[in-house]
Amino acid sequence: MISVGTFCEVCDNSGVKIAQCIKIPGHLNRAIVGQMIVVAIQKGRLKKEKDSAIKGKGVYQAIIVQTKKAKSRLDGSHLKWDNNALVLLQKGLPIGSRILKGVGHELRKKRYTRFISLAPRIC
Amino acid sequence: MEESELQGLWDKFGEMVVSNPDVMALEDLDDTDSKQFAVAMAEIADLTKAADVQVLHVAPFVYWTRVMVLVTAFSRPQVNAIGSRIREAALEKFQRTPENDVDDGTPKSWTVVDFGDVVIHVFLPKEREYYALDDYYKEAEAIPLPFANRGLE
Amino acid sequence: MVLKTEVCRFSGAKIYPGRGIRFIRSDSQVFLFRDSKCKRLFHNRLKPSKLYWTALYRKQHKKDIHDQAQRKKKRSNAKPFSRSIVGASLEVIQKRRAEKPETRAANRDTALREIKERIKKQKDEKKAKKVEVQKSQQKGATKAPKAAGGKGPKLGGGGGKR
Repeated sequence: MISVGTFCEVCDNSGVKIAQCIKIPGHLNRAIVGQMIVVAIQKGRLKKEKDSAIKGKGVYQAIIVQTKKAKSRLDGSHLKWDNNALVLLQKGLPIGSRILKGVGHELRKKRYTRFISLAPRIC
Repeated sequence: MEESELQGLWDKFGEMVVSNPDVMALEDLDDTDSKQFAVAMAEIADLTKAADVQVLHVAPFVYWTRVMVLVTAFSRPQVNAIGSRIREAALEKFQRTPENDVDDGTPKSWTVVDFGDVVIHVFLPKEREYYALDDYYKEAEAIPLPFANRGLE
Repeated sequence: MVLKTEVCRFSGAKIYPGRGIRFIRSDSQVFLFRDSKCKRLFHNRLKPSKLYWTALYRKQHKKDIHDQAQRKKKRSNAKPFSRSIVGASLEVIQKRRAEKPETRAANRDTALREIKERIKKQKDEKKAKKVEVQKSQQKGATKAPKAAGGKGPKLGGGGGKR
């Protein structure tokens, strides 16, 4: 459950460490695993310069891959992680070339199979 | 359900309870169906003038899919075209639709068509080099294709 | 959907499908808890081996050994009781039980011998068939050179030896 103002860890190799949620699109108060939010980079700078348009710091879109708040699944199980983690996006594509942490199943349902193929593990 | 009833179930059926027992019996241990399907899709990509088509059997390394197809296209419309051709062919020949279809028509530089056990990635050459999925799954066995691969120009 | 009954990491109790919480730590280790009680105690860093109701405590303090031994004993005392089942009527069961080990062994030997003979016969039949097929093939395919032409029938014989 990420809300506006939450600091989250960025778990890809783009060079950014921590980002803060500044908006959740769609008139929502809380965001869960697999949802896209808008973040501002707080700590670290973007090393991976895919396009010249990407600057060191700024506002980017991100997808939540891990949350501390348990996410329930259709088979009745609940899944929770130790921290809140994100992956940064630009124009629908990931900025980093690898994801460094395990991601949730939910990404597949939300049509983010691209991220799953970059991740080391799926939980 | 009471504890005793649940215990009875446990004693009777052991650890695993499957909702559809036929599914377990038909488990395709060799992934031949998935591989066939993947090769068929790769052929379609080749017909659409895609380059550097690779079909990787990633099942031993990754549990969310069986076979991955990596394809390079040379322009965004071509990426779109390959994606749509693959979807059409899958529906016609194999009666399969991609599970999580994200085709909103806007041309992207990296398209994914996800059929569950087969995942097809269509990149532009720059994206393919940047994300380097061939490198990430280099331990996976490459399935031989019936056509010659067009090289990257 | 495969629904497995799992075991709680903390208390050792069974977690039936639809229950329980799965916690993935930052080092990617997965912990399964039966309920929020186990989860809370884990997060408070209590040791299951010090809580008397957990399976780990009972194992360490050897609490269940007596019961297990009794259960084992009980099981071995079960007597065979006479009842007919599908595939064997009561008389057949009693006869079989009354058979002496020597007669049983002798019967088994004869049965095995019969089976072996049957298999051998089948193998011989197969071999003969193979020879015939090879013969007919070679006959059909012969555009044999002059040297081999004279040796026509012998070639067939040579195939059979193989």
